[in-house]
Amino acid sequence: MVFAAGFACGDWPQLQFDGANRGFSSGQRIRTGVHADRTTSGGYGPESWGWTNRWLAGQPVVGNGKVIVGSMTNRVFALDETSGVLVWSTDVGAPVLNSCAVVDGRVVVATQGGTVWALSAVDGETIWSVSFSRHGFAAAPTVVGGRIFVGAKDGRFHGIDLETGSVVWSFEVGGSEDMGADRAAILCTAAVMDGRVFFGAENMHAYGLDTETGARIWRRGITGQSFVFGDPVGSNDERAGITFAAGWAVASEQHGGVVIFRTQPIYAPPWLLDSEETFLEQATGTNWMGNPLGTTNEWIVEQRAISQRLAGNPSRRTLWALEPATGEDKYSLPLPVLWTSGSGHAGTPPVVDDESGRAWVTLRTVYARLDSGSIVRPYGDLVNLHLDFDPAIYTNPSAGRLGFEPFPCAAPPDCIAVYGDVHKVSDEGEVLTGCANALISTTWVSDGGYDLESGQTFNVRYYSSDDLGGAPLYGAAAGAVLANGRVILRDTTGIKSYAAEP
Amino acid sequence: MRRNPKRNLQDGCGSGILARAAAGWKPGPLFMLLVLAATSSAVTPDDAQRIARERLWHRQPLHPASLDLREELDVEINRLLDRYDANGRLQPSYFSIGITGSWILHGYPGEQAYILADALAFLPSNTQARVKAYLYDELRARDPTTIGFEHCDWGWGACELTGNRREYFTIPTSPNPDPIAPNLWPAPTVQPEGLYMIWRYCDRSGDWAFISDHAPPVGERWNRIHAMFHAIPDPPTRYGHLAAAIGYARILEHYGLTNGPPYSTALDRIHAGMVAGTDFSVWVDDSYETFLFGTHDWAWTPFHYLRNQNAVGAMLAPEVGRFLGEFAYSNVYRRTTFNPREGEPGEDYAVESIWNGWYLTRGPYAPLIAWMGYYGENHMVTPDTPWALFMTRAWVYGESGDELRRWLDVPYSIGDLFHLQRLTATIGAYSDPVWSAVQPPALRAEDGEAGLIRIIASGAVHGLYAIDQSTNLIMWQSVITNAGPEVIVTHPLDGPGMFFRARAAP
Repeated sequence: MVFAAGFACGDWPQLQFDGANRGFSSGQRIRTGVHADRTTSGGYGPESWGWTNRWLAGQPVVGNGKVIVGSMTNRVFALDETSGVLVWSTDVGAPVLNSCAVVDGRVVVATQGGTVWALSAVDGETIWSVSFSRHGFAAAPTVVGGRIFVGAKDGRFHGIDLETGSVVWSFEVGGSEDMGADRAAILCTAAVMDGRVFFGAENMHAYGLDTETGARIWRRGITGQSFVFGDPVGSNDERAGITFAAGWAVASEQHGGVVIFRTQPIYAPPWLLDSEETFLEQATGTNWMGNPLGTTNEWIVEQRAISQRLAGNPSRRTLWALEPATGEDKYSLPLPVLWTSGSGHAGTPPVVDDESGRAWVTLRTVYARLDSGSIVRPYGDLVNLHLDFDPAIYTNPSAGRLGFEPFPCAAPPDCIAVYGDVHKVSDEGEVLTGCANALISTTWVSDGGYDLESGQTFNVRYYSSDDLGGAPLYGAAAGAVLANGRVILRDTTGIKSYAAEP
Repeated sequence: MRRNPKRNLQDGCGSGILARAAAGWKPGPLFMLLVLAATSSAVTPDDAQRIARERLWHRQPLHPASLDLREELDVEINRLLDRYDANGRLQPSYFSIGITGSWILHGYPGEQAYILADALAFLPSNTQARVKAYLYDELRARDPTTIGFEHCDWGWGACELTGNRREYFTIPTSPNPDPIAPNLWPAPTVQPEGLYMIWRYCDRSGDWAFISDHAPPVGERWNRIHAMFHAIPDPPTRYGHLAAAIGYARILEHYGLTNGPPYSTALDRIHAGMVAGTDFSVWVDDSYETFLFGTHDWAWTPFHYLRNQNAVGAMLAPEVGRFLGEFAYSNVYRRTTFNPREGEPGEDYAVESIWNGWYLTRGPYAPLIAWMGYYGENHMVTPDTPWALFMTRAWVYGESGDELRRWLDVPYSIGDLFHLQRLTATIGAYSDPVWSAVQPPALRAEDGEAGLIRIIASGAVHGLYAIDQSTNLIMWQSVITNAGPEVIVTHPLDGPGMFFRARAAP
């Protein structure tokens, strides 16, 4: 396993938990309650503290007994993990667009102004800082093995010594060691695994570099418009903070190792949604109202069709599973993952539990369990993604395996939820995180999750009373942080901490 | 961000004078700069004339703090030109906006021409030559008086998305079985805004032959330029119309056609537009109605002239920004940056105050404010919206280079014209910008002693500038006091490309 060293086992030290961006904290459990429609009584809680600040950005991180988050107003804040009291704040001179990292007592911050800072986690004092070009950073720093890895918007990717701040190496996208590619910004947060660091650049190439030398191991052109997704959050009654969150690569040790990217589609989403809806209905002979759950054999028919459609139309691929050593396709056919998310954003990469060999992702399937909406919402669902699976098996009509499995329905017909239920439909650009017994979904509309043991959804908060914006919309699309018995959320009003269990 | 006091500075000068060249040397007009502090809340005809006549100049040497930005500008423009040299003409740019659909950007030939011509002043000479050659060919191949927006034919499958691309990503196109095909039908027609763009291109590049090499000008293109002006409604209804009328007036000025009805009509139209456009909120709302109403979309459109039929076109001329800064500053600020009464009944939220990531390339979209019709969900922020906010800061607020630098961010693509414009405006803001009129014909210049030019100006000349003809940068300046009815100045000929401008006081 590759985890960042230098933090307590219950901490959440960086974006999506670890250096591989797996987003899964296996040492944590949360209360999931029971399935509840449009109520907030189901899941974790109660709220133990809240801290108001509308200008925060990125996913909070937890370490050294503090919740640490950057802001668009040039500051980094550290809150006491148990009380929510502000312990320190430090001016870093420019907006912080993404998550910080807290490792070995140091808070690492990359700013829009182009400076990487190491601050003391104790008091926020500067330990060192190093400045790069004016273009700045949108990606979060990834810290593994005493080294910081972060890509900049000028197209340079840096390896920086955590102890001293010295720049160990830099790699320039489209530069002399990367001839044949356009120089372009790096917005994607890197993943690190087994001596390689993976990231995507806006020239729509994925890269694998050597973590020691920065030498390019491979480069791979992939389709999509961008690696970025902007968190869609807002308020209709007060000024609201917005965050900028680029996508990230995720690396997994499953099936001999795989690195996964998701990209924003090139196609205009309405057309894409309509087209894929038609395709799914034609491929499966059913629609969302007719056969909402489906059988295993029906799933196989659908997944075979999706993989073959993506193979025939590679521009539609927005999830890329690559070999970590070469950047080649991991599988001989694309995984049966259709683009989802009604916002036009890239879907987020999977949550990965490498200890148990599991992964989950949102995608489109005609057998999704939600919902009563139309056009955008049907067919979006969260599924168990099998990373030890090669879709080539679909070339065998009698093959009985699945690339993904929708969640079982423990109590029909409740599995067909109404709109107000937690958006497992993945309509609104959710960010997923996970722990031993649950996945947590946070969107700008609602917070909730999925009990991995019962297969049931649970709700925590719902931000709007209807789909017309009659109530404030101020959701949290940065991902729930699971740390030391708490669920910590950032929404547009600030930070909230919930007891993970009663 | 605070209003730049320079925006209150006005030139109250009268007519200018033009010098004629000595043999073997090409002169330019001379002008004088007289600065007066004056403001007014109501736009008078004199105000309109002043703003219409005075141009933005930058002094040489350029400020060293802009060096990195000039280098970046040079790199980005050369990337565009390299791609052009390798694969031919650069096509417009595609952007998928999210649930609302997709847009084509930079599809009007005049847009590229004026933005690149504007950058000339800040480019090294070799890049200048490349840009001029590129635009010379481009405008003759894609005439902005006939092409309103890149367009191929009716219906889906537009060929705007084929050919040499600006985007970093690959667009699947026909005959790909799964093409992307935004519909640009019906074809957007030529908009009056092209007048300003054409003037600026000709003026900055020196390629006046594009319009006509006759004086007075003749020809079909000249006739179309007249028609573009007459397409401006009276009174104008958007800020681009103001710029268009200014561009038209300046074209007339160049050809010495300032005594006839076309010129006075242009000035009247400019004044009428300024009177109507002083209420920024009204024109903002009109732009919403025109470009966004009924769509599931969000953008900031006061400076747009196209944003439908999948086509985006936008322009904020410095002169329009100056007008807004002088006569509508608080209104602009309240709608754009911060409204101290936001949230109260009837009060709008300023765009920036609800959208703190407005300047970010591929950043988040603005949050919803009560789901107002045009504040829709589910879209990506298109590049024209951060551009509009940036240019407001540059031209309306007159922010410093250091301040504008904070909002530059990075280009969406190769040849991202919005980004090139941001860079140019920021570099210019570092360079001590000066507003001054151009009023040819004005002075005469004669050969003096060897290596000297002798400039003879009539009237109370207060300022004399030597302009580098290739960059339009001010090479040196001289302030003359107690000038009589005629002043004679001699100065070393620093280069063959220099010309002189001055202006007489009233």
